[in-house]
Amino acid sequence: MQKAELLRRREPFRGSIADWRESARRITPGGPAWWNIGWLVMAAAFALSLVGIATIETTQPGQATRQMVHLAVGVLCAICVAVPDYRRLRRFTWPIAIIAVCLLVFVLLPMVPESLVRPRNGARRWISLGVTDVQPSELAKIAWIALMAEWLVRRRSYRRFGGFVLCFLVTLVPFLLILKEPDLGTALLFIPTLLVMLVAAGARLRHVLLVLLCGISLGPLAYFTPGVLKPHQVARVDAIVAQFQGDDRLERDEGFQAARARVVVGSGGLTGVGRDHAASIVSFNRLPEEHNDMIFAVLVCRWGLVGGLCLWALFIVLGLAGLRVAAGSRDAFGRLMVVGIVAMIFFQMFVNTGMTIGVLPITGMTLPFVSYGGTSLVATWIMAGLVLNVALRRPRRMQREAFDFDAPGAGS
Amino acid sequence: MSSPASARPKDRITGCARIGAGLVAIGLLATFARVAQLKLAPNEHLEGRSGARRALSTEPKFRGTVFDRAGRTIAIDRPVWKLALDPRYYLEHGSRRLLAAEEGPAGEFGGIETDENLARYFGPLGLVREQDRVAKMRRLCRELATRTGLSREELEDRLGPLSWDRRYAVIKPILDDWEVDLLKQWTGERRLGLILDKTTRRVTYGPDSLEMIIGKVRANGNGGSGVEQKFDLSLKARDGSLRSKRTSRGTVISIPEGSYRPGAHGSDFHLTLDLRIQELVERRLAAQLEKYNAGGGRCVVIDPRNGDVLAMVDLLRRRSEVEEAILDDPMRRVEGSLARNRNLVDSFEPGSTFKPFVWAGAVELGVGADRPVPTDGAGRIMVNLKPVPVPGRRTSVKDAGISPYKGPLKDIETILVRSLNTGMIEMVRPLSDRETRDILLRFGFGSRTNCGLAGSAEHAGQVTAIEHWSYANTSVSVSFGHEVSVTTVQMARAFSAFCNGGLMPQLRIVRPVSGKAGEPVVDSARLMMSRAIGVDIAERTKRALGKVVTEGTLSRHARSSSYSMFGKSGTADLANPEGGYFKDRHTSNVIAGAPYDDTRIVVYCVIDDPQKSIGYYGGLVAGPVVKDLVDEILSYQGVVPDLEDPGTRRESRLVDSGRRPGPPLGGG
Repeated sequence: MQKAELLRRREPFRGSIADWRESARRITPGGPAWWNIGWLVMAAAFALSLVGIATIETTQPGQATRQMVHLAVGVLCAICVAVPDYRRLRRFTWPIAIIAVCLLVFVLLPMVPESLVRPRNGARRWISLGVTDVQPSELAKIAWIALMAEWLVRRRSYRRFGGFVLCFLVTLVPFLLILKEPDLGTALLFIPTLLVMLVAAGARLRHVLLVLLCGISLGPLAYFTPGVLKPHQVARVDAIVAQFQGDDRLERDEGFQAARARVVVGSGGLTGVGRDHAASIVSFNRLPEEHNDMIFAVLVCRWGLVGGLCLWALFIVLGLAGLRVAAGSRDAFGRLMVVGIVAMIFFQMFVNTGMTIGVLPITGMTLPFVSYGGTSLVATWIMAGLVLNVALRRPRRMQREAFDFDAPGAGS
Repeated sequence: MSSPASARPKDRITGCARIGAGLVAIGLLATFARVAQLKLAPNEHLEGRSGARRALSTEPKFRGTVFDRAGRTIAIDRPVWKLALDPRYYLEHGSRRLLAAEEGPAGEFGGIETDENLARYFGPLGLVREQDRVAKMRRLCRELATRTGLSREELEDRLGPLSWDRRYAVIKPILDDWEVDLLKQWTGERRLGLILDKTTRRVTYGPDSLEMIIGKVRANGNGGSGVEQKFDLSLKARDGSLRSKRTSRGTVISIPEGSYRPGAHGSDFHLTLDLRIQELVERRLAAQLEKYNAGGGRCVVIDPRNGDVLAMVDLLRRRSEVEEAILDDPMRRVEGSLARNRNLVDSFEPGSTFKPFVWAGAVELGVGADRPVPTDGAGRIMVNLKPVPVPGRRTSVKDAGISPYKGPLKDIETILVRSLNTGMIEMVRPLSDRETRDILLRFGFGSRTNCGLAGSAEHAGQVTAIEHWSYANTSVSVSFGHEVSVTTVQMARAFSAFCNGGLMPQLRIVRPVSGKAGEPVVDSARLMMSRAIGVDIAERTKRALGKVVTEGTLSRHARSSSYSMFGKSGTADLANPEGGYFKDRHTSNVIAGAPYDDTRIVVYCVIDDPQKSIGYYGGLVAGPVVKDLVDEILSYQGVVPDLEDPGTRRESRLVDSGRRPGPPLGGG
């Protein structure tokens, strides 16, 4: 049945002359399209990285220098990723995904010496390479996006509920491994990103809504069921609930980080207070992870609401440009991959700023391109490089419109 | 032009994209709004902490201490620990930690009791949640019972009813040191919801009756009543303050110049009250109320030489079998410091105890001399053209066979000694209405004593206005202590005139204490005297009052065997709140000074509504109280008894009429 559908879709072009000409222009093969919107993505990413370095320099000048090195490495990696045609790299998605899973398993193995995997704050997330640390979950995010794009292109089963659920089962593998580290924030990014990719791939909306409803229903159950969430995770939810209730008793306990972040965000006014004053505010408030997870608070403290607006503007530019790249791509794999990358960066940005301003529970999540962290920065730059890669490639052959399953005569 | 076949998927993609873009826009707008709110309109809690952290540290200072005249502490600020509970925090978080500590680290979740797990699922259903709450509170009570002086039952009574919504509940207002040590050791670094608040608490010492005089300090540190309120400005401490820059953990980084404002402790006060005398008076008065099943009693002891109030007691006694005629004081049952001090704010008709004032005033105006009372040819005082018969004392007649006063009245002293109402009526007959009224005013009736307590709440008593005054209705009644209402302190002050050669002291509750510069701290404590009557008249009245004790109405029950006394008793009908007077209910009162020569104390005792079947005459009911207090107080003060032989020495002193008492003036 599926084969018959595919055959029927290869029927000759039946549009007007103008449509034919337009279609012919698009399928003209050639080299990389150098002038494309993908550069805007790179520019926005670079601007965000510079903003991040300046913000880190507010409180940790030494770390800012290291972050510049990370940026250089990241840009280099992005170029390396952008140069080869992504359609040729496509064949490596499965091996890369398997390597990523192996690394995720590796950090969890109890027999691994602490010189390689040193637990920090009770979490086993980093592999020490001597000069720097590598976070396998960041690599897993890229590998998973590529894998899901490949999965959705190769299969049509996600149009049925069984196949739709199967995508989630596949996602459960990295999800559970990262959850076990534990890194709930990163793990939770996979679910909304997958939903966006499924919507972009043409999954049925009723299936998406059903999963959303199930997620909303099962969320409280996970909170109330002993053992599902770690005690500190329950405490963080308690802290955010207490905050909304006007209860400040937890502010020196579970809600300390969030409370300090809110104070720092609240400081700075409209245009900020300048570097030194912002540094003293952050220092006096003892804001934890101020150059990492909580960097948004430092940024809006130093540059005020205007600085925050500029940051969001850069993210919006990055997102819109990324989506334009996806829209311009005639290759389903490239389109899905770019959509996944943009979705993941945006969700990460929302969760990070949300926890900083006290509307979401605290999770250990960085602000893409901005937060300090070698692996994080390099991983996001690799994502940007992949977006540029897709933008550079023109379609080589004529193919059907992507995911036009609702065309007349198309079966489900 | 695209075909319908390709238009539908494009519409779908466009729709999804629009929804996605809309969601992203909403998310961004919400984030922007939240940041803007935090920056531009933060709540009060955040507002105070945003920006550079500046700390205002207070340097607590103590409220002034109140001492009695002997330097004993009556009221003092004491640093204490208070144990309180944040019920919601304990129920939501602290109880888990408490259980985890009991069961070890693994008990954080797995060890929670089944009902607690159920409560997590079905919390909103109420019943299970309530069971969970009760179990948690019991667990806490069990632990606290071993670490505080409170029993488990007491703790369960206090903590049992606390709901999830409560945020603060005091468990024990004052903890002992051992309790604090145990609790700190037990809680350690764990946050269970228990709060150990170090606070300053006003502690009062002395008998219960002192509470209404000392008064109460409010939670904000201001005096609320009594001495604490009257002298609040001086007693109140001014906390110092230090503004500093500091880290969030409180480490001071820098202290800008001029940011320290030193505080000052409150001024100390020495009251004229004496704890020992207060205690004596309270105990003796309470015993007498019990004996005569009375509804209440008041007693004031003052030093007539300088107006120092040595003791002031007011007791109320509720009797189930009697419908009380005395105005109730419900606040007294709530807290002693909020009680109404009836010595100052309740007035009453004194009865015959009032006669000496009218008598002395009348004599000074010439009654009995140039303004004679009506007499017959034999010199006997007449009322309504008939000689006034003087009832003889039955026992005297029996014992001695004769009574010096038996027969018609021959001198006006006898009117006082025998407490003759008819005689008093004739004493005021020669006087005009204004003259009679002025006598009362000169003794200070109708005006406040301003002794330093109660302030404007002090009752000035009631003296009928001159336009409503008439001989038949007012002068006659006033002459024997009716138609006029007084307070106990007014009576004691007026009686002091007989001890000081006619001078009345300004009553005071605070002793003059020299400050560092040698200046008196309290101006109102300066000694002030006002003249009520002349010296000779005062001495003459005192002599007559001495005879009251030796030969008159006080001779049987109020005559001290150690100290010479002079005084007067009275028994007034009790006013009926519904109008008129009770026929069988009375106010019994006695006022006396002692020793006779160098009078050190004036004691005035009022017993309200004694049971008539047991006794109700002033001399009988209040007399023993006055006598016992004179004996005990003078003995406590180290006054040498002046009566070796009560009979002979008293008589010999009274014969010596030419000697004028010379009370030492000045601070005592």
